[in-house]
Amino acid sequence: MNGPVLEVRGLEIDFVQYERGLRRRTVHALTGMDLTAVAGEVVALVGASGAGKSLLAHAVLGLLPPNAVERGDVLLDGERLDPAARRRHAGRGMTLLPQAAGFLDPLSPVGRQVRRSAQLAGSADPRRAAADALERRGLGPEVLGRYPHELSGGMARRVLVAMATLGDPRVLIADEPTTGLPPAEVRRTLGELRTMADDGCAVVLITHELRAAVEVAHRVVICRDGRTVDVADPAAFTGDGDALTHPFTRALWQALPGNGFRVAEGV
Amino acid sequence: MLQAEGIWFRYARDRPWVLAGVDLGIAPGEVVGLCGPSGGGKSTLGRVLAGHLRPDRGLVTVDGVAPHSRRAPHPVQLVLQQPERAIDPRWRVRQALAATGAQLEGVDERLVHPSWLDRYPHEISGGELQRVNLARALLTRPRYLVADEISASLDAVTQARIWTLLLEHCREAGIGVLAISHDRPLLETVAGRVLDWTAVPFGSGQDG
Repeated sequence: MNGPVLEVRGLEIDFVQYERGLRRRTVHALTGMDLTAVAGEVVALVGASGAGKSLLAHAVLGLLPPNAVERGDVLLDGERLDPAARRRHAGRGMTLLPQAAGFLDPLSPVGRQVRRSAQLAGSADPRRAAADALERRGLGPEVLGRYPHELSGGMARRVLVAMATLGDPRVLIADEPTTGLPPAEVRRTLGELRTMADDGCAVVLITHELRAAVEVAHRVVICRDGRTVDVADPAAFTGDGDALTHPFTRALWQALPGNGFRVAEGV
Repeated sequence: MLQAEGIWFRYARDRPWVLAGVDLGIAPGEVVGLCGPSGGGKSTLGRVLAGHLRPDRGLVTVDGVAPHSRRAPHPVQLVLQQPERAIDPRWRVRQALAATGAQLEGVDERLVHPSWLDRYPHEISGGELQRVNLARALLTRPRYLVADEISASLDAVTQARIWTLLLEHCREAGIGVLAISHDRPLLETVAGRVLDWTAVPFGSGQDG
């Protein structure tokens, strides 16, 4: 139970691009990411947009485009898996809760998409499982017939949560699940992630909101410009941040509105 | 004074009202926060104030007159969340700033480092590009600035840095600011007063 379910060690990703004909260009997107997800825990991956958080999620699930070059190790249950092998686990043992409602198929009713998730998760009665999963999140049967554009942002988010959790995943990677939600909905979503962890799932919460991460996570991983720079204990994010050892992490904490809004020099 | 009176706006005749009778006043040098969830019409109001959208009813005035000149930059400048969408990717930073018609010697070096001037937007970081974006708005010598989620995709350190510079410039030049964000602690830190935005209730205002 306490061994790491998912382990990412020194993950580097380059994208090879061609510009103006055959001139080749390599973009270094990730330059050294480390992440460990343990069953029963929420680990938060915190960083600004462009720091490579979503890319890490897609890489772990083997969903990168063919021009991506990967170095480093991704281990599932201690076993090193290549991208193709990881992709086979996507949606089964490992699930991505994507960032935006744009990940729903716009041309297919919600009910059909949730049923498909239930089917892939191996449910004996996908129709029933889909309806139950939505009902648990306060979405009645009338939602089943709607198309994604007929849902509000909050409803679409709940549909995605329902789909992501249908298969009782062992690893859930939630990519910015709270962006743009009203505060009550944010608390609900984070609470749901915490409950999943309490039930034995290893939850990776990707977010740029440090405060939310500190509230819900067991461990906080800070990343910056494509690499992870620090792993901190949420309890250390208190007062003036004196318990935080890494200068960048401390600077982030002290720069929050309400913590002084200070601009540290030289970080 | 930037004054919006009885602003009504919808994106098409058969769409619901996004703004229904909005009144707002911002004094020179004042920083007003506008807080509320996404999808409520805050950004639409920002675009109406900056002249990007024409209201269906109501009037926006700056110091008593409705801005209309197409020859000079609009006295209300809008700065958006994503600078990469606001700056032409084929222009170097120097060119993007020069398009304001202002002298680049006047640019604050803490806002735009001189070494960035000959780079393309994708060659500097998102936080740096947002500083360029802000500098461009300030170069037009606006009377008012609408800052719509300008730091929502930046890390906390970069956020604090950009707001500190913005507030300093606006204080010096007496520029009034409308700060739009979903982040209440941020607005309480930067703004003198914070308004709670309530979206037009669904189904109301259809009479017009």
